[in-house]
Amino acid sequence: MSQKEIAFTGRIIASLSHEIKNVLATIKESAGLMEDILSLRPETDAPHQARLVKAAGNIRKQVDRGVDVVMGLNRFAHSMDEPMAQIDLNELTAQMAFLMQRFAHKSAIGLSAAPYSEPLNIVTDPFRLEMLLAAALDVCLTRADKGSGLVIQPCRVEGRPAVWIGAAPDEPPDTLPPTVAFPEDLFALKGDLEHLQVNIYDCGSAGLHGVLILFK
Amino acid sequence: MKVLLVDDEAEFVQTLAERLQIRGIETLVAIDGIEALRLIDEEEPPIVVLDVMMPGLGGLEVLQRLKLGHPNIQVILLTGHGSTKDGIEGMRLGGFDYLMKPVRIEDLMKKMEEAYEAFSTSSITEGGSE
Repeated sequence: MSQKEIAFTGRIIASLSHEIKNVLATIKESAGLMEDILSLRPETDAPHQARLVKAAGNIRKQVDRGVDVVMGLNRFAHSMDEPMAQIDLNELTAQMAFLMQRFAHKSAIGLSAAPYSEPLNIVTDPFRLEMLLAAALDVCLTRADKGSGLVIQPCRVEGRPAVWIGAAPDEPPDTLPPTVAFPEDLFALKGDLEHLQVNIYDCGSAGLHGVLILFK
Repeated sequence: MKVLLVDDEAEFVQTLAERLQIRGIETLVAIDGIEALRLIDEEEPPIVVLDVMMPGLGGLEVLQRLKLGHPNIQVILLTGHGSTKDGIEGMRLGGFDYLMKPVRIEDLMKKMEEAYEAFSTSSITEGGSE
């Protein structure tokens, strides 16, 4: 997609997700009002009060869940706003863990994000970086054992910002292991690396279960 | 405590008003910026809960205009976006604080109490300096 097409797609998704959130906000307040009214009346006045309170509570819980989903969609849409933008890798990796949660769940793998101890700001193409991280996560999900855990976390390697996607309990390396290679199953993404100013390393040959995305 | 709720989503804002009334809060409702400014001039509520994303006169513009004539009124912004950019901009323009929409009624009540305290303090300070 061209940048113009990406920006258009993002604009439409952002707008629609905003509208969905307005709908959810109204449903949430209506369910809350039902709970309020039911709690004002003595038990004998309202037949099936307990069941109605439970149903209203369920609506509220599901709305909260829907709001989380829609906010993730909205953040994703805004990643398409600009071809280059400053982002915090802590926020981006948390967002990626959220976006890829369903794929991980389907593979029976626990996926989580672990933030770095401080903000790791970089200037990049947010949308294409998300695509790259999603592809790297896909590869790691394919390799991981069912029932295992996968962590996506920003880190610094040799002082440079990086993102580590690894199987617990392996930690990101402090220095680049000398034997690391480009993961062959990510070959299709090689063209994006120059644009994003990153290198990808498969750390399997260094005895680590993970992929490292290192910013130049 | 009297609160003006401003949001172009009429059903949302009316339902929210009803919930606050159940909790003993006097509420006024406006569904656009012009109506909000008129009610502020007429009723002078100490607190305004203001949606940022409204068609026509947007929330941030309403905030700027109301602060010119009523600097003590405390404004809580409701931001509809995933980002906090609008809320931060609103605070720079004199907003008391911002909350993400949809908001938990308990969080809104707590924020309104804090805003009312700030209103009372600023009114006393202003009265004392005269």
